[in-house]
Parts: sequence; C-alpha cells; structure tokens
Amino acid sequence: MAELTHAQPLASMTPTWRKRLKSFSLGEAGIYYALALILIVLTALSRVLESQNFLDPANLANILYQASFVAIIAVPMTLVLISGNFDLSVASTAAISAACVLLLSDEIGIFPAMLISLVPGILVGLVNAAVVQGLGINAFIVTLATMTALRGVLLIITGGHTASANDREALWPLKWIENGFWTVPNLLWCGGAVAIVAGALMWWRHRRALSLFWVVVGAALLVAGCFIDASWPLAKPVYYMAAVTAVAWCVTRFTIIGRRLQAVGANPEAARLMGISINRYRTVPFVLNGLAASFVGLLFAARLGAVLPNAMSGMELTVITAAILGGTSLFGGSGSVLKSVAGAIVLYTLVNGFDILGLGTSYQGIIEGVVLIIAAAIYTIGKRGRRG
Amino acid sequence: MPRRDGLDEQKLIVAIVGRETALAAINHTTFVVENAEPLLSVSGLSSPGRLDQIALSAKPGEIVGLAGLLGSGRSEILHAIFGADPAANGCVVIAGRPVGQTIPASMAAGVVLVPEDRVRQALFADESIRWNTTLPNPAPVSALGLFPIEALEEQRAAMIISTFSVAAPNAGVPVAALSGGNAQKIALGRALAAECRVLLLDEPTAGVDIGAKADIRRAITEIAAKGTAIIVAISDFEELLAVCDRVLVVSHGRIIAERHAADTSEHELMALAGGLTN
Repeated sequence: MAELTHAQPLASMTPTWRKRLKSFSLGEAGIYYALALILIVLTALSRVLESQNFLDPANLANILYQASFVAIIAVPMTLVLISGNFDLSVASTAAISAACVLLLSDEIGIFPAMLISLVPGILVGLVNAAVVQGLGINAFIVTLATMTALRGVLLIITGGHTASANDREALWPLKWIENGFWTVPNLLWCGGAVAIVAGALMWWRHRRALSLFWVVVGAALLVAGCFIDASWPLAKPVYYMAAVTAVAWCVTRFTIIGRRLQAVGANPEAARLMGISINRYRTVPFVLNGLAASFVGLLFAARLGAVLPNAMSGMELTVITAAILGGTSLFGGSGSVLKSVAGAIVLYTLVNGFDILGLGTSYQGIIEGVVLIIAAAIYTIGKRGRRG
Repeated sequence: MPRRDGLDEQKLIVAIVGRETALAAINHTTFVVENAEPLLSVSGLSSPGRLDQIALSAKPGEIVGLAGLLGSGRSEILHAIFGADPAANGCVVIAGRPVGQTIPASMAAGVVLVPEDRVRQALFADESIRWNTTLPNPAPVSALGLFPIEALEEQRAAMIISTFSVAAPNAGVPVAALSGGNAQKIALGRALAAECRVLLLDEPTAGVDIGAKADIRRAITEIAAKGTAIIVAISDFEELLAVCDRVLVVSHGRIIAERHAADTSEHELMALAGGLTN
C-alpha cells in the first residue's frame, strides 16, 4: 500500500474536482499560461515603447495567419508523435507539392494540378510508414532520409531554379484558396453557438451540470451579440487551421480511436494484445501528416506564386517545436493537438512581437530557444512531481 | 516446502485474510459439462522454435492447467491460441468454428487473454483505472461504440474495483499508483467483466499477496461456473492443482503428459515437467 500514499491527501476530494484542478496545473495547461503571459508582456512593452498596439484585432488576426501554416501540419504531426513515431519529411513534402502545382498548372490545367499535387504527401506518408513499420527502422532515421531525398527530387524537377507558372492568370483557383479574408460575422454569436453545441454534447455524454453551464453561457453570448457587433476578418488559412484542429481534437479527445492511438504510442505490446492494429494506427497519422504538408505546400505556392528549391526548409523543426511546446512527448503515448496549435501560436506571437517592437530577428532565435528549454523543463519537472 | 504441523495453506489464508470465503476458492468444485462438445479445440499448433504440434481441448466450464518449468512454452501456447504469435500455424476451433490466426479474429470469437507481464503487456501505467478498463472493450460503455461515456466507464471501473476489492481510492487513480497485486486485479477484472467463451490466463496469481490470490481463484471458478472454458498457466503446481480440473504438462514446446487434477500430485507434475519420468 506504500505506493498509494502520495494519492491519499487528494483522495478526500471527489474525482471530478481533482481532475478539474489537475487540468489547470502548470504541467497540464502550461502552454496556455505561456501564451497569456507572452501576450501580456508584449502588450505592456508595446504600450511602454509606444509602438503599434500589439492587442489590435488586426494584429492578432495577423499572428493567427502567420501561425496557420505551421499549425496545420502541427496537428497531424502531434498524431504521429502520439503514435510513437517522428516525421522530419514534412517541409520537403510541402515544397515538392508547391513546385508540382505551379509546374503542372501550365501543362494540365490548375484544377488537376491541385489534385495531383496532394499525391506526393500521401505517397511520402505511405513510404515513411511502410519503411518504419515494415522494416522496423527508427522513424527519425527514415524520415531524415526521405527529407534529404525529397530535396534532391525537388532540385531535379525544378532544375535548381525557382519554380513558377507561366500563365499566372490561370492560377486564380489556387489564389482563391489562400488569399483573402472571410469575416467572422459576429464573434459573440459564433462563440454562443459553439457553447450551445458543446452543452448539447455534454448532455449526451451524461454531464448534466456542465451541459447546463455551457448552454447558459451560450445563450448569454447570443444575447450579448445582439448589442455588440464584434466582427473579425480572418485570413482563409486560419479557418483551415481551425477546422483541422477541431476535427483532430474531437477525434483524439472524445473517441475510442484517440485512446487507441495513445495506447499504440504508450505501450505497443499491450495495444497489440488488445487487438489494436499497430500498423494501421501508425500508418494513418503518417499519411495525414503528408497530406497536411502537401496542402500547406499548395497554400505556400498560392501565397508566393513561386517556389525556391530550398523553400520552407527548416519548417519541419518549427512544427516539431510547436508540438513540444504543447507538451507532446517525443516518446509517444501523450500529446494534445490543441496544445500543439497553441504552441505554434506562441512561436509566431514571439516573432510578431519582435517585429512590432523593432527588435532584430537575431534575438528571435535566442528567445525561441530559451522558451523551448523552459517549456521542456516545466513539463519534465511536472511529470516528476506526478510520479512522486 | 517444509511446513509446521497444523498450519496448511487454507489456515494460513484464513489467518491472513480473516475470511472464511477464502476457503471456497480452494475447495474447488468442478463445473465441467462432461457430455458437451469441446468449446475450444486446438490441433497441430506449431511455431518454429517455440511450439511443436500442440493439441488440446477444453469443454464448457472446464479449467485446464498448463504445467511446465520456466521457458517450457506455456505462455507461447496461450499466445499462439490467441493469435498473438504471427509465426504460429495450426487449427484453433471455438464452438465448432475455425478461428483465424489473428488477435482481432480470436477476440471476435470470444477469446480473452490476460498476459503474464501486466506492466509491459496489459496495462497503461500513466492512465487511470477507468481508462484501462475501457480500452480493450469499449462497446458496453460507449455511445455508438465510438464515444466513451464517462459515467458508464466510471460505473464499470467501480464495479471491477469493488468485486476484486482493489485497494484504490477511486477509478481515476493512475495504474502506476497501484501495487502489483492490485494492478493484476485490474487486468484480470477487466477481462472477466467482458463476456467471453474462452479465457486464457497466464500466471494470474504471480506476484500477488495471498488474500488477493484467493480472490482471483474464486473469480476464476465463478467464470468457469458460467460455462467459460479456461486455460491457465501457473508456476506453482500446488496452486495449479487447486484451481484446475485437468493438467497438461508442457516441456520444450510440447505437451508431454495429461493428468486429471484429482489423480496427480505436485511431485508427479514436477517430475514430469523436469523430464525425470516418462
């Protein structure tokens, strides 16, 4: 019974309350505190230095836009990491897709080019998964190899030059996907609708008190929305980021699929003996990751209209940094897509803050490195505390 | 093991646990349905380097023991029947129907395995008891078989905790915080809570205190009483004989002898398993 002693003081509280308190702890919600802290510090600094207002909705929208590319990949990357794997090949895959769509649009038309440009992502995901799972080679090594090889492929197909389309007018569907804004009509109404849907789901999940709370909050927001107009134009990629995150979060958080994914990463042997297909639960995240990378490649091509052979190199590490900032374990078995996206937003909030404060980009790397170490330290110490 | 007069295992258990109920598990009554067709029948089950032409069968309610020394192939037999040994080849028939050699196929046919190494093979240490009890069998506590409902999970986990008198304050405690015996009770209770036709138990009582052993043995006989066929491997031959109706002696990946539990002794089993007699 000695093992139980550290759980005893908490035993007097009801399990739900203990869980609620735990989800606010530094180890669990650290990334959200970090985001809040960074926002407060940068806002204060921007006021003191009398530069552009950091908390301006347009600037916040800009941060989300800047973070969206990395965040869209960080979501499936988190799934890969949870399943116990690792993927370095995303940036190369994205660059290949970006080059493909621009080079192919002259040849076969923009719509087929866009569809075909998603294929490299799926293929790379399948190849990664096949080699990692089939031959049992460490995912770090395999994806390091695919990353390097794909850069070579990119050099060959671009001939070492910048890839671009001759007929720029024909690129309009691609541009339409990335460029421009959709305005959130009324933030309060949207928030209210989300809260009411959440409340309905809680009711269905037999969480009656919480359900009522959310429905009341939602109704209050809907009413408030009638008096306050809070529209917010957001760049299109931000919506893709929100959609990808929402779907992945719901699947990992509320379904048995998410738990199996976690099981496969945490203890593959036990998962296998429960009849969970390890291969399936490790292949699908790889493929989703490749697909997301290809999609981001399309967005990138649309944003710039031209692709250098070294485009986006280093982005794979930014994506993994975002996931680690969000507390995802590199050894599999735990992680949260929501926190990874928060991690990406933290990174780009820092970038944006440095721009606004007029600090050189030279300090940016230092601060990012320090932030990463601090985050890792908090998670490691938090885990030690839990183990006792 | 040398014993002092008047202190046999039953009295020792009662002295430690303080419960007469512990005795019920030891005075084993049989639940074999003698005239029934075998529920599980295995033939020609081989795995290169591990198993050689294993053939065995178990009737509804029968508890069949695998006796053998360490490394004799007891666990390998259980894993091969369960479809967990990809190299294994052979014929596994459950209730007259051949079953494919994969884990999902075996599970669908109603076979449940409780592996030997609970930390490595059965449980997720960082996760709560509730999480661990839901994972292998989510359907009864989920909506649409996909969305686990916390209240139902909690109910089932609490039922397992109370049935097996697990020492845990609540179902939200991570399994890592439990003692070995209590973790084993969770792994076992989880398997027993599922409806199964064939139960494969690998060392269900290893590393468990004597009171928990009695609880586990009682649970095994209760399951047999429901008509489940049970194959169990236990290293302690005395304990094995107390639990089983019939014992198969395993050596070097082969079944070398078969005895009714009532007609044999731990000394004979030891001699057979050690290769001292034929």
